[in-house]
This record gives sequence, structure tokens and C-alpha cells, in this order.
Amino acid sequence: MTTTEDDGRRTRPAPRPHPDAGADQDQRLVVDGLEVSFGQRGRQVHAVRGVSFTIDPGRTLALVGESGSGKSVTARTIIGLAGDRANVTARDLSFGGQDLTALSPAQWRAVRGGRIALILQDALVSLDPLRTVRAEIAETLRTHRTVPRAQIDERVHSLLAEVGIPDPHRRARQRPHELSGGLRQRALIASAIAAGPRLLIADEPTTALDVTVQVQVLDLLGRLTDAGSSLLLISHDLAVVARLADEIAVMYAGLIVERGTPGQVLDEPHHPYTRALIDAVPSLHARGTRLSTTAATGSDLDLAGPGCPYAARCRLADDRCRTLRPALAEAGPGHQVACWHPVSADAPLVLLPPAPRRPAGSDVIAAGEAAAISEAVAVSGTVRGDSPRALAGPGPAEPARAGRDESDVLLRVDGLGKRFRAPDGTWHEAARDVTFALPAGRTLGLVGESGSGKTTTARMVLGALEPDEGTVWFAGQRWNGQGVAEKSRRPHRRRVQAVYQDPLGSFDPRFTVERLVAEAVAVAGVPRGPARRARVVDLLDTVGLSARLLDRRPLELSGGQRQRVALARAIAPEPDLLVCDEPVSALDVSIQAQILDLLADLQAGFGLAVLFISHDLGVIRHVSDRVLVMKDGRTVEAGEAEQVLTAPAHDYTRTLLASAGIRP
Amino acid sequence: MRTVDASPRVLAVRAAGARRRLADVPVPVLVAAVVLAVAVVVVLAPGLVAGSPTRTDPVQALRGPSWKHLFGTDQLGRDTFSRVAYGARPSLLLGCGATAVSVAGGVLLGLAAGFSGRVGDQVLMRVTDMVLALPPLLVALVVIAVLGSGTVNVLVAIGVAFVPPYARMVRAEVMLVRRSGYVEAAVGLGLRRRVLVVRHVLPNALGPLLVLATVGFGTSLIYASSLSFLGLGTRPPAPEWGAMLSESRDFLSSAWWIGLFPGLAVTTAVVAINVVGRHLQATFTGRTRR
Amino acid sequence: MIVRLLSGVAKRLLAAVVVMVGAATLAFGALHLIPGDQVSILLGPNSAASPEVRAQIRSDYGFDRPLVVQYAQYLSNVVRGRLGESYQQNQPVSALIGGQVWPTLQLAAAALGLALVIAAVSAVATAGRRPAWRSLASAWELVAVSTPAFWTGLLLLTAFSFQLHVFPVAGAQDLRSLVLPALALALSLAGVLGQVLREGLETALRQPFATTARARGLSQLAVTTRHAFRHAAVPLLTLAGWLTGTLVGGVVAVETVFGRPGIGALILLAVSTKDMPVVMGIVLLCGLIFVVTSLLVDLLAVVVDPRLRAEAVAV
Repeated sequence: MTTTEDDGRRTRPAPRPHPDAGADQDQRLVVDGLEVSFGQRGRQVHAVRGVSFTIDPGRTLALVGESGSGKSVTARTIIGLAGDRANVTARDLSFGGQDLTALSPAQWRAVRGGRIALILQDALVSLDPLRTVRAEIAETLRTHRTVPRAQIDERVHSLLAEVGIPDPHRRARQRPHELSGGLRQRALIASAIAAGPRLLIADEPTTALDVTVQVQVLDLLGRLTDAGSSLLLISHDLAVVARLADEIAVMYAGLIVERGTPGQVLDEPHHPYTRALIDAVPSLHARGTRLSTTAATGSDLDLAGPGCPYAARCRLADDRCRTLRPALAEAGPGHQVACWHPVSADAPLVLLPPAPRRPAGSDVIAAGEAAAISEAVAVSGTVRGDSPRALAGPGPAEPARAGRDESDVLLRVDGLGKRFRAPDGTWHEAARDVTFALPAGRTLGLVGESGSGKTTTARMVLGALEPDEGTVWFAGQRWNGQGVAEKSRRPHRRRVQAVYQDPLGSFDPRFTVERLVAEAVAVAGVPRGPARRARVVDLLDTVGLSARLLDRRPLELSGGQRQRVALARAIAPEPDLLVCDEPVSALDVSIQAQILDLLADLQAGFGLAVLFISHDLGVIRHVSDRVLVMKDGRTVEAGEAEQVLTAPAHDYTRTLLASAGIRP
Repeated sequence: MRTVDASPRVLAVRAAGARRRLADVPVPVLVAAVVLAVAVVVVLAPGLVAGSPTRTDPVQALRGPSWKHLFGTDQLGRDTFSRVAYGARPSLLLGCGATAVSVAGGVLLGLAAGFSGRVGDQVLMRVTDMVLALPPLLVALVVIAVLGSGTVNVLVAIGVAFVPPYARMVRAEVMLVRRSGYVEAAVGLGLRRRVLVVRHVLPNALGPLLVLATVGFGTSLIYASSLSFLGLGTRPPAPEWGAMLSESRDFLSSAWWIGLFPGLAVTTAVVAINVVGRHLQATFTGRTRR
Repeated sequence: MIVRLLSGVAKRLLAAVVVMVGAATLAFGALHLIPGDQVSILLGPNSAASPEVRAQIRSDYGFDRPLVVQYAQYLSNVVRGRLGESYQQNQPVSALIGGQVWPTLQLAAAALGLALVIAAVSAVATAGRRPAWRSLASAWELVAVSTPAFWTGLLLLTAFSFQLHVFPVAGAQDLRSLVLPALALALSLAGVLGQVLREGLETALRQPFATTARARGLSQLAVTTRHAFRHAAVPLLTLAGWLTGTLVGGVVAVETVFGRPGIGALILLAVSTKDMPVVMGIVLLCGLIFVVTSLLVDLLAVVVDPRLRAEAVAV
């Protein structure tokens, strides 16, 4: 075992020997001390800071991290496509003994596609939408002269068959938009493997797909590695990588912070960040438990400082963490972690010191922000936080809900139907006979895959879309249906508020945060002037945002901050019902966790009824009292959350659950 | 109870933001802004920079550029530099006035179409489409055929010719904004239609107009000089850039400077306008659009 | 499918007819918007015709009939290809236009072709390249866009005809006389087209499929020409189609500069003498050019981007 010294601080053990090592040694990827930065002196951004790993033939390494962690940049660098503005240095960056840092453009072209292939996220845009599948696959074959010209068509068809596309002759003539999501992702994979590369880099290969299709594509990738190719799998989703990886490396702020087998990393995470990532996945946790364990919202943090980049978000951080960066150190056989305070596997993280210590001279606002959040937690956290309600379903034990009559139905949806005209002139039924009831203070989860009619239903509930048939009743009044005028709804609008997947689109782009929230505050009757401003600051505080953001415009906020502003605006008019349409789908998992916790706090604190719409069963399970499963515009199953999710009656629900990795 | 954070630090952050914004303005934009500032001065008071544009001096006729006559003299010995400087006023005002006419007409038509019902919208837009189908210069020529030639008529003619693009854009923006998520959110707050229109729809729909009008100003300037060149607008001997270029045609072989400098003035002004317009567009897009 | 295709074609043709009727209406409206008496305009300002003669003319031209009847008469004449007689030149308008239209179309086509070539070379060579090249290209495009074509023509004439004597000063006898006017028009067109094309190319090069193509082993140039160009071509075509219409406008001034025969001289004379039948005829001609180019552009766009096929049929 050798140890390499880097700047005298970081030590890196040599790669773990692999049983197959030596057999196909010349096809091994070696990445050692990779650094990638963008921009010029002064405004330099370090995207990757000293990343090292190797992948042996037939093995799969998964790089896991959130957006901005440097995982995609690492992947692009290995295939030489990090861009003109990237400065790349490495002690060793080689594949099969070929030094990748010293290649000429012509040599790179031979490597790309020929020896290393790249598979991107969504084949609808990752394959040229104007060209047929055949043209795309043939391009790889022609570029690398894999087969003689006359045999190209034949080879295209055999490749399509190989990746499991039925009727290859017909599919080859089609263009990406004519194929389903799963088929075109397979076609993309076929075009990548056409020239027989020995290393596949898959950057979020299943992220754009519905869960049921994800599984099939992952299986396909698994088959390819069984055939001897190596796979570098990039994903934000721990559940995805757990299925395929031989080894997982967790990245944060351009560094690998933990590495080991899936068993080690997922079951015994040592780094607080890994732990936070796992805790943030709602499907792994029972209803009522808190998901977020990080302290700050993760913006405005000095990631490039000398200390541990995670220190600012870490509950365990002390002065050493902030000044000295921990190196990757052995935590077990083949298990490495870069942390001064590795978390022991058994200890629940919540029992560790909860409040971050405020170091003298540090950013006071950041600390204040942290305090605000822990206060928000303190106000309402007891309600949900460690409530015994956990898995027991709805319980009257909760203070905010006590005294409410369970039969007090706030929202009743009765036989809603809506048809749309498709571009080709045919009618498409977006929703049909959707019926449900939502009592005050409760949460109904509406789950389904894309095109299931979830959003159409939400828009009808919100009164943004008139149904063709059926009625929405709100607080005993006809709220939406044929002939219900906006005029009659308007006085009660305040009582029904919404949070959308894309908060940016729901903000007037010219407005500052202050004006955005103030507009909603005004609806609640708060007079103009200092009172209104104070109320805005108060609301921002409730959702864990600093008053510093008052002057910002929506575009200048991070995704998590935007969703917090959206929540602040939604609760400002003191509504009774909150409709959340995929409110966390666009967010990184740890931010998603914070937003879900915040939503739970707000619901408990204000006694809100919530209609929660998501494609993610894990999220749905985490938030809902009752669940409604939709498919192709129809309700396939409805009932108490625990019943639907533990004893599903419908096949489709079972398929959804299985694909999401949730065992009934 | 929390107090509002209006501390000096917040103010300091704002001030720093303002400073940074000025430093971020690219050099070409600053240069263009200076050029336009000079143009404004020349329009307001051409006498400050130049002598008489009409004083003839037959002895000095057709002299090339020299220290005495920076841009040379024309066939009557008039100073070309003075004529270019004095020409700024009619040329730029013509472009400006024409743009004002187009913008006013476009906003009226566009808003009418955007807010009227389906039928009204269809009728207005079909009419605009018909005009849009014809080359702007031809539309301007038809208007001149009706009204007769002359400076004011050229102004109106160019203004009318460019109404359709503005009308289209205003209508499209109104439609876009009306369907936007933030208007839906505002409806969800229970705001009245009038408040909605005044607070959200109009400002967002008319914002991009500023950018288009800037670029349109440049285009109007080019068309105005073309029409004057064709002898339909300002007539020689009045100093106007297009008219000067028209006069220069007789001296292309002997006195190139008579035709060079007025044209250079047109191009410089239009380049400066376009640079500023694009900067506005970039700033606007960066601030409010993805 | 066939039915929908046919109905799509029918809708296109209907739209074309609407534009033509619109152009005719506009022209007719312009004629009657002119302040003053039709007959005086017809006779010109210096005429000393007697009231009897005037009355005779009035009834000959049908000016005494109701406006609606005149309009219907005009439309039916247009449909039969009769554009009336010129007030000033005692010739049928169709003959006047027919005699002048070819040099103009020749010039417009040459300018458009040249502009497309210049724009394509400049954009493909600089899209996605180093910032220095890009700012150089966008600088020349900016200047080209901001320069009136007739002034470019004057400069070219000064340099190449009067100083270097490479090209003829005036006329439309041979191809050599076409070079300078076409170049003058093409430069300002190429500026606009180049901007749009490069923007389209760079948008396409930022798409994931461009990365996929690079990852397949293609060079940057191959990705630009084989993948990105097709994506940028649709907006380019649309713009080029619209510019073809406006070209007829630009042609007027350039033809004047180079003393070329063509529509330019015809319409200038007609406008300054209020020879309305000629003006109306040229308006109709431009409407026709617009309709034809739009149909052509729509057809080409569907060939370039097959995804448009469904929409083209449905719209």
C-alpha cells in the first residue's frame, strides 16, 4: 500500500486491488489528483479539487452528489469535453495507459466514441432531434470506421436489437420525438456503444425517465458492464446508483468526501454529508420524521476556503473543520471518508449537538439565518418532529389538528373531467371522473407519472382552468365548474393558495422579493407602510430567509430560496388550503428535504389543508394522510396513505412502488 | 418581535451593487453612449462645433480634407464638416419622430388586439399581417404617394410603415404575459382585473418595447436617409445626410469626401444606437428573463 | 392523413389569397385617400383641360360610380390580370412592370444568394470559436447592418468604378454590371443573416445532442456543419424569406445609385407624379412575391425540420 503526499495535507491510499486486476489491466481508467477550474485569475471557480479514483474493466463506479458538486465536470474532463475555458491538471489522467492530458485534437476524436463513450440525460435532446436514429448510430460507426460502409445498416439494426428495442427496422427510420422515453434512451445508448468503447460514462442516464422505465434502462447498463465495459455512473440519486455500482464516491464541492461499497456508503455512512443525503431521501423515512439535517440553506457559502467545504452546513463543525481540510482516510476496508468527525453508523444524527456554535468573527448573518431556522423548528418542530405519530397514520394527538372535526371537509372534488385538443386534432382526456375530498388541516397526496392528469386536476382545483364536467366545492361553496364566474371566486381566492414546481415562472420578473411577498400580504389586509414591510420580513423569517434578500429579484435566488419565497407568499394571505404542484421536483435532495420539513412546519403551525402533487412516491408517502393514484387521467386507487402504500390493491400502484424501490 | 433590517450594511450592499453595475458596462457601450451624447449636443446646438453650413466660397470649392476644412468642401465651397454637423438635427429628429409614430401606433394596435376578444384580435392581426407582407419602403412610398413628399410626410410615412412589427410584438407580449405563471399567481391572490393589468401585464408586456424601439430608431434613420437620398424627403441645399449623399453622386469621381462623411455619420449613429440597444436588451433579458 | 394534408394546403392557399386581396385593398384605399379630385391627379397639375373633357374622363374611368362598384370592378380586373393604364405613360401597367421586373429580380436574387454565402461562411467559421474571432465577426455584422445599402453602393462605385475602373459605372448590360449592386445589397443582408445564423448555431452547439456528437468523435467543425447548421437553418430561412420581400425596397435606392433600369426607377417616377395605377400594380407585385416566398419557405422548413410536418398540416 502506497500513500501519495499532496501539499503535505491530503493523503491518498493506492487503489484497492481488484480480483480481476491484471487480466485486462490495459483498459483501466486512472484519475489521480484531478483539478479543474474555470475562468481567469481573480474570478476562478474550482469545480474539481483533487479527485482520485480508478475503474477496472467490468466495474462500475458511481459518482454521487448534488448540482455543483463537480461530478459532471469530472465526467466531461475524462472525455475531453470540459470546454475551452476549463483549466485541467492532474498527476495522472489515463485510460488503458494512454495519457489523456497530452492528446492532440485528432487523437481525442479517436478516443471519444471509440474507447470512451458518453451517455447523457434526456435522449429527446441528447440525440439530434432532426436526424433519424439510424443516422445517429451510423455516425458513430462511420467516424470510427467500425464496419465497412455496406454493413452499416445491418449493424445499426443489430445494435438496436442488442439494447432491447423491438422492431429495429422501423425504429431506425424514426426520429427521437417519435419514440417513447425509454426507447429513445436505449437508442442513445446504442449510438454510444456502437464503436465498442471500453469505458462508458453515463451522466444522469435515467433522470428524465418515469420510474418504471428507469429500472429497465439501468438493467441495460448493468448488462453492458457484465459484457466487460467499465461504467462511470453519475447521478444525484442514491437509489439509482445503489442498483448498479460496485463502488460509490460521494462528491461535495469538488471533493470526494466518502467512498466505499454501496453497503458501506448507504448502510454505514461516516461523513455527515452522506448521512444528510441519505436522510433526505423521503422514501427511506417514515412520515413525520424530519428529513433535513443541515444547518444553513447552502447559499453564500465560502466553499473554496481552507477548511472542510461542508463545515458551513455541518452540525458537527468546529474550528478545526473551518481551518483545515480533512483528507480521505481509511474508515474500514475499502471505505474512506474525509471528515474530522466521522459519524458512527449507529448514532442517530439528531442526537448530536443540534445548534451550530457561533464562532467569533464569522458571518453574523449566516449564523442568524441558522438560528432563524432552528427557531422555526422549535416553534413547530415538536408537532411533527419527534411525534409518536410516525407510522401510525393520522392521529388526533397533534395540537394543531386537535379540535378539528374530521368530517369537516374543506375541499370536495366531484367527478371532474377535462379534455384537450392535441396538435394533431384528436381529443385527449386529461382528467376523467376525478373525485376526492380533503378535510381541513389534512394532506392529500396525488401521485402519478407524467401525463396522468395530476397538474390538470390541480389547475381545476385552483380555479385556473374550467372543467368540462364535475364540480369543485370549497368550504361548502361551488368553487369551480361549468358556469362558475371568476367574480364569485375572487373574494375567497385568498383562502386557496398555490406553490408550483417552477416558482420562477410564478414570480413577476420585475418584482423584488419584498414586492412579491408584500403583494400577498396586502391581500390579507395589512396596510401599506412599515407594518406591511415588517410582516414581509416576518414571513421571510418563518420560511428561513434573511431580510437581506428583500432587494433581490427572482433570478438572483437559488432554487431552494425561490421555493421558500413561494411558500412565504403562499402563506401570507393566511389560506386554508395549499395546493402544491411538484413543489420539490426541481430541487436537489438536501434542499428538497429542507422544503418538505418547512412545509410540514407551516402546515402544522397554520393548520393548512394541503393538496400535494408529485410523481415521487417517496415524497408522497412522506407527506400524505391520504393518497390518490392517477394514471392516464383516471383515478386507479385511493385511500389512507399507509393502506395504499403498504397494501396496494391495484397493479399499477404495485408497479410504481416496486420501481421506486419501496417495498409494500 | 423582529425589527426590520434596514441597517447601513444593507445600504452598503446596494451601493456596491450600483458601482459594480457601472464597471460591468462593456467599453463599446460606453463609447456608443459618448457618441450619442455628442449627437444630442450637435442636434441641440450645432453652432457650438461648426461654422455656417450654407456659406458658399467658390474659391475654396471641391477642396479635399485639410485642417481648415476637416471634411473638405463641396462644389460651392461649403464646409462639409459644418454641413454634416448641422445635418444631424433633421436626420436624427426624422428618425426619432418616425420611431415615435411607429411606437405609438404599434402600442395602440397591439394593446387593442391583445385585450379585445377573439374576433377583434383576428381582424386587427390580419390587417397588420397584410401590411407586414409588404416591404416597409414600399409602404412608405405609398404613403408618400398619397401625402406628397417633404420632411414631415417622410416622417409619417416611415412611422406608418413600421407600425406592424411593434403591434405584433406588443400583442404577443400581452398574450405571453396573460398566460404566464405570475399572472395566474396574481389571479390566485384574488386581485381585480384592472389591478392585474396595470401592475403585471402592462409593465411586463411593454418592457421589451424599449429595446425594439431603440433598434427601430436606427432602422428609421436608415430609411429616412434613403428617402431623402431618393429626393422624396428633405431637399438640398438643406443640410441633411441623405440629401447630401444625393448631391455627392455627381462628384464621386472627383471629390470622394463629399459622399464619404455624411454616410459615415449615418453609419456611426446607427452603430451607436444598435450597440446601446443590444446592451439594453442584454441587461433586460438578464434581469427578467431566463 | 391525405385529407388533413389537403386541408393544410387549402388553408395555406386561402391565407395567400387573403394577403393578395389585402394588398389590392390597400392599394385601392391609397388611391382614394389622396386628397383632391381623381381627374386632376390623372391630368397632372399643369393641365388646362376643359370641364367637358374632365367629365368625359370621369365617366371613362368610372370615377363617377359608387366606391363599392369601383372596388368590385378593380378586384375583378386584378383577378383577370388587368392592372389598368398608367396615368402618365399611356401604357398598360402590366406592360410597364413586365418590362422592368427582370433586372430587379435578377439583382434581388443575386444579392440574396451572395448574402447567404457570406453569412454562412462568416457564421460557421466563428460560431463556438474563440471570443476574439466572434467579436470580430459580430463587429463587422453590426457595421454591415447599420450601413444603408445605397451608401455602400456609393463607396463601391467610388472605389471600383471611378478609382480602379474594374466595374462599369452604370447600366445592366452584362453580369459585370451586376456585381457591385448585388454586393452593396448583399452586405447589409449578410449582416442580419450572419447574426441570426451564428446565434442559431451557438444555441444548437450548446444543446446536449452537440455534446453527444462530440463525444462520438466528431470534430467541432463537423458538429457545426452536420448537426448545428440544420437546426439554425429554420430561423435563417424564415428571415431570408421575409428579407426577400424587403429587398424590393432596398433595390430602389441601389438601382438609383448604379443607374440600373428596374422597378426602382418606375416606382420613383410613379410616386412623384402620383401615377396611382403603377403604384398599385407594384404593391400587388410585392404581395405576390411575399406570398410565393412564404410558401417556399414553409415548404423548405418542413424539409429541414420534419417535426414541423405535423404542425404544418394541422395549422
